[in-house]
Amino acid sequence: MRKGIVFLFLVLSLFACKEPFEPELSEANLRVLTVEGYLDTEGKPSELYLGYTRRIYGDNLGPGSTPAVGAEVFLESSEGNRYPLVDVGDGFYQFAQDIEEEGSYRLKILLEGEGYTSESLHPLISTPIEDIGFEKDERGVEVYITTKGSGTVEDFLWTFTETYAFSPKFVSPYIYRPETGEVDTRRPEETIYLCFRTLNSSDLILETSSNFDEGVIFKKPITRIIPGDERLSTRYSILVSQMALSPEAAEFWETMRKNTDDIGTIFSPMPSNITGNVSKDLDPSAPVIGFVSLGVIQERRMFIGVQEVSPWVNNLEAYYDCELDADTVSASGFEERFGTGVKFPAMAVFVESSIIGYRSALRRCVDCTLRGSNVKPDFWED
Amino acid sequence: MKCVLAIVVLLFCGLGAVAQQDSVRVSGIYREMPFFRFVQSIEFETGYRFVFRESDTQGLMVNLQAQDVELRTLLGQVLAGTGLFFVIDGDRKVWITKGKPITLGFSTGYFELQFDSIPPRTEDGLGAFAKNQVFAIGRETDNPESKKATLSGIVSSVEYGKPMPGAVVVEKVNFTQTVADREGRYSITLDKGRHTLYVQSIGGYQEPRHIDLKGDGILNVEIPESVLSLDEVVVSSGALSQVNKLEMGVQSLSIAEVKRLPAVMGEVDILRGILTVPGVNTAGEATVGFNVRGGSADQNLILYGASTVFNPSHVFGFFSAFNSDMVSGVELHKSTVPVNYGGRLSSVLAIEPQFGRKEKIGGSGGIGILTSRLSVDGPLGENTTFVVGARGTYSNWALDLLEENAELSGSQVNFYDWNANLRHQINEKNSLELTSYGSRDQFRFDPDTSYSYKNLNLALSWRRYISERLEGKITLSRDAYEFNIEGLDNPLNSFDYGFDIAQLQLRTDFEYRTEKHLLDFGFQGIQYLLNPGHMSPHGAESIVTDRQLDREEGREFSLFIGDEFQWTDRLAFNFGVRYMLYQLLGPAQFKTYAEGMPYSPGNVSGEVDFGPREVVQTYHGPELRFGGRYLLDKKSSLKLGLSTMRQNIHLLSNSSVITPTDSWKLSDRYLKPQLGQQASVGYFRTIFKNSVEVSTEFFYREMENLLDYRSGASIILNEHLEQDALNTDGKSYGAEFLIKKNMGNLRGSLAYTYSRSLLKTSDEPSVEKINKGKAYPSNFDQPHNLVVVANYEATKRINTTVNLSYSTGRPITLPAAEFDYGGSERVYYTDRNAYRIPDYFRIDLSLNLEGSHKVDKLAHSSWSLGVYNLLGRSNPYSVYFVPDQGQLRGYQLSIFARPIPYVTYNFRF
Repeated sequence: MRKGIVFLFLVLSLFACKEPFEPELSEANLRVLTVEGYLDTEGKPSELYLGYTRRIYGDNLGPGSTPAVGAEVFLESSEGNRYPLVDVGDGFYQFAQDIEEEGSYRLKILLEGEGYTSESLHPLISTPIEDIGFEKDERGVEVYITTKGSGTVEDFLWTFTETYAFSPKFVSPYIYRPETGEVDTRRPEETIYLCFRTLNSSDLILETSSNFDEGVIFKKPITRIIPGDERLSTRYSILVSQMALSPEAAEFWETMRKNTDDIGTIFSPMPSNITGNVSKDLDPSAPVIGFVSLGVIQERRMFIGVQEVSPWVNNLEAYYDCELDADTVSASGFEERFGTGVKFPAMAVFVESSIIGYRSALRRCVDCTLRGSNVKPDFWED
Repeated sequence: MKCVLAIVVLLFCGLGAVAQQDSVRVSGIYREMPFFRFVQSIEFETGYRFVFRESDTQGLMVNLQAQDVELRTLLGQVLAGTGLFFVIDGDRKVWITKGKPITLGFSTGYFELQFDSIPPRTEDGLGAFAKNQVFAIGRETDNPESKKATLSGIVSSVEYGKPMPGAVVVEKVNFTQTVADREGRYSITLDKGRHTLYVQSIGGYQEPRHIDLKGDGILNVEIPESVLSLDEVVVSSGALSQVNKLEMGVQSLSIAEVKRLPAVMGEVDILRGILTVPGVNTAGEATVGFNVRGGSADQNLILYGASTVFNPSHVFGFFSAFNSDMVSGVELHKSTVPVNYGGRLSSVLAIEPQFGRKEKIGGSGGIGILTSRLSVDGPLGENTTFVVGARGTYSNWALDLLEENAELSGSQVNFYDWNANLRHQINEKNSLELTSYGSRDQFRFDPDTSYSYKNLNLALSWRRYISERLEGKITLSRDAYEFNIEGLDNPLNSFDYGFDIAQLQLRTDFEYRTEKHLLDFGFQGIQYLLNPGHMSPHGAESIVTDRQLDREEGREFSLFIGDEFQWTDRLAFNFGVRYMLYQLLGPAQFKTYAEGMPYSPGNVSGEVDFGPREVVQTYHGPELRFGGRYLLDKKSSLKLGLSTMRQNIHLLSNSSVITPTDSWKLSDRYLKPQLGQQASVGYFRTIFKNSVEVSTEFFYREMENLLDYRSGASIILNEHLEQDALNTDGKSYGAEFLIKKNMGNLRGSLAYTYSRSLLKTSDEPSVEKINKGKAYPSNFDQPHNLVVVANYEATKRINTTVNLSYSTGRPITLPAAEFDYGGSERVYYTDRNAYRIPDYFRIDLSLNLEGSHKVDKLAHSSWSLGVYNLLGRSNPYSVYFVPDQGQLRGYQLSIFARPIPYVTYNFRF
């Protein structure tokens, strides 16, 4: 569609002319502070992220993310009590204090000589997640939650983090040790055939309980895993965080959800103008992006084993072109074949009961640590 | 009566005649009239029949004025000195013979012979030089107490004899003036006494008439219609009269004037002509429509005759959709819109259709680089005329030049339009008119996406002159528009998208004239049938889901009455009121929302259903019009205009798109009718012996219930538009300056407008206030706008025009930066419409060469050549952003980014 429209004009390039357009924007519009955080009021460590927007015009646009470091951040109650956030680097500031939930607070940020203050924040006590579960159908597995709003809390935002165990195409317990020139069996901490991968979802799931009978949000879909997806190849875990939002915050997140770079086609949405509840002290009209909320983050974790969804075919998308090399590498060829680290011993070749050599494969077809970690997360339950 | 009757026939006429009653009296002014036409006119007026030999009266011109004169006396005058004699018999027949009067042999006992021997006519110098003759109009005994008298008549063309609509009759002392209507009829009220009237044809020919106005009377005028239609700059009812005209903010352009403007690729474009008028601008070169005084494009009512044209352009605005040969004139009302029009907030653009001539079949046409046109017109029988015209493109060859670029090989542009108009004169008092217009566009610029749309308009009207003062017209019309996109980007998401709209209209218009009043009243009923949008999968593989928005049906009734009232010599007013009732009809389904809460998904409280033809929602209210004019002196006037308007139909448009993809929507339960109010004042003056007209107008407008959209809204195929639309208030104000020179070898105009057009999310509960509830510029807020047109006529056959346009760049919402939030990369946009695209500046040049002007030539031809965008400046039409390798990139697109030469050959036969 978009292509079509661009061509509309390209074609008229007998007359028409397409040139790069780089508007001259005021600095205030180019480097805008972003503030993101839902701070937990019960002392559970939660993070606030401060960053700057980055340019989209011109070359040498710099790194993908520009964190705002070195800020002094604290929460100030209406009585004047200050609850500082700890700078943990890379633009993250950690909050881990149990604060009075009846009070009202403002977030204050001192950064590069400028002060920023949020509007008055009232902690929102989220109702707990009543249920988390999944259903399998021909379109895969859908994870859902059920929750119930209360008189004071109607708008919810869910985010989730997924972790799953997976194996590479070739499960190999072998390791080439360059110091000895031998192929050895991997020690437990060296295994590369079972890894854990964590994905932070960028989906923003919003719902309002007042849309439903008795405020019950029943089996709200959180995510869907399509058939063949690696996530369910071994074992899968999802942590759903439920945050209660004020109506203003819900509006902000709804706008954020619609914010997209999919512009320029007839079905594209209008540009979304995002602000939030933080403003610059000396220039309240200057843009600051972000809506800070206080409340109790409700979390539920669920595991799904492959046996619970069987049959589940893992389509090995990440390893689709993995093949074993045809030849068998014998001891004399170890260094030449494995010394560079490009190829790994993937399979032992036995003659009678002794190994005469190894079939080799590309490292990425054997080594799962390229895509995950071989360290089992603390929360993992087998 | 042109036929020749043998005297023998006469002899056998069984004339059971009774005694002649010579009380038949005739009134009228017969100027430069061939004798046979004079006879026709007398026959019509009196019911008498004339019998004569055509050859006997060859070359005899009638030149006199009669007020209640006996027929015998009148004929005596006419035939004096010609050697012709007449006899009137008892059967109301007039026999005219040469040499001696006939004797009716059988008549002795039955009828009295009328026999007049006429003294030889003296050459009084009145015949040949009508300009120097003083015509005595009316009788002093009529209404002696009134200081004023009304002169009326018909202006017609010497060459073709057909009425000349739009001819201006002006008296140059007080600048009282009037314009001939579509039948060529005019009526002007003046102080009794001597006057010099100037009658000006559309072609620019001016003819003076000296009158001595003693009472109400008739003066028919025949003036030449300039053959050199391209060489005269004249406004049909504009310049000469702006000072005197009661209505303010009305701009007329003759088609000749439009034709002289430099054209894009040689296409004469009416809409581009409108842009030379102050207060009118356009958001871009290739955009559909135009903006008047800070209003959106859908707030203009574009009428071809009585038909509403929903899309007035071809290929997304590259070409105007009107064939210039099918148009006789254009009038734009931007201030106090006449009371018989309504339903749009900003303006009315009345495009007058062309009708065929009566004398012979002829035609005109043009051959240009990309398109050609041809039209044929003429009589169809005695009382019927027709005109048909068509225009088509063969621009594919231009696209073929790009064939070597394989990516573009699928390009195709096809469009055509046609008109067919008929006029039938049932009799002197009744006439029928049929106008029709159709256009079709189909184009694609790559094999993947095809656009197509079509207009179809039909209108039939019956006009009746009920009495000398009262005239009525009934019109029945149907207007339809349809738009489609076929997207074949890949088989999986191939789609067909489209919408359509149709309206059925019945209206009556009455006009009643008295000495001081001109009353307009009538009724208008419109039924809207509209399909706001559908999308369906294209092909078996497509996984696009079928979506169809519910059809909408609505009706709109309006009653109107308006009066133009000449209070004193200097002061004139018009008042008008139009009451409009609008209803949306079922079947329909709407969500309901919690009382007093914004329309958001969170506030949905239920759903209501409406059955077929059930009234879903009714809106009604008055539209008011008021205008006043005060003549400061003979050369200047002050005017005031106030008006309120209502509009029930909305164009939804996504402004962030490079191409205009708009769809229509009716007012519903939540989208209220747009309301507008405008106040304007103006000062008008002519200087340098009336050769230059200067005017300035100031306006202030307020609008309610406009539509803007919340952040991230999707407009196309939105089932619950109320959740994404924001009720918006609009405000615009500005000053317009116009200097126009209409005479001499150097002519032209300079129009400068300073105006602002601002929007503000209204105070109604809403989920979002754009730009924090502050006022922000609308999409077409272009504060400075300057258009200069200069035409120099070197000789009658060569003239050249320079056109210069400048305007501030239109506002745009820019993606300014990127950031990460909520786990994704996001785009930070500036405030809505906080920035502007670069300013617009363009100079064009054209040269028109006329062929020889021998009247009897087989075909008259002319050449138009020129250069559009002489400086080759790349004026951005559109600025848009597309992700490119993970990075958002901005492009500015100029449509006519280099000088574009053109040549067109035009002909008339």
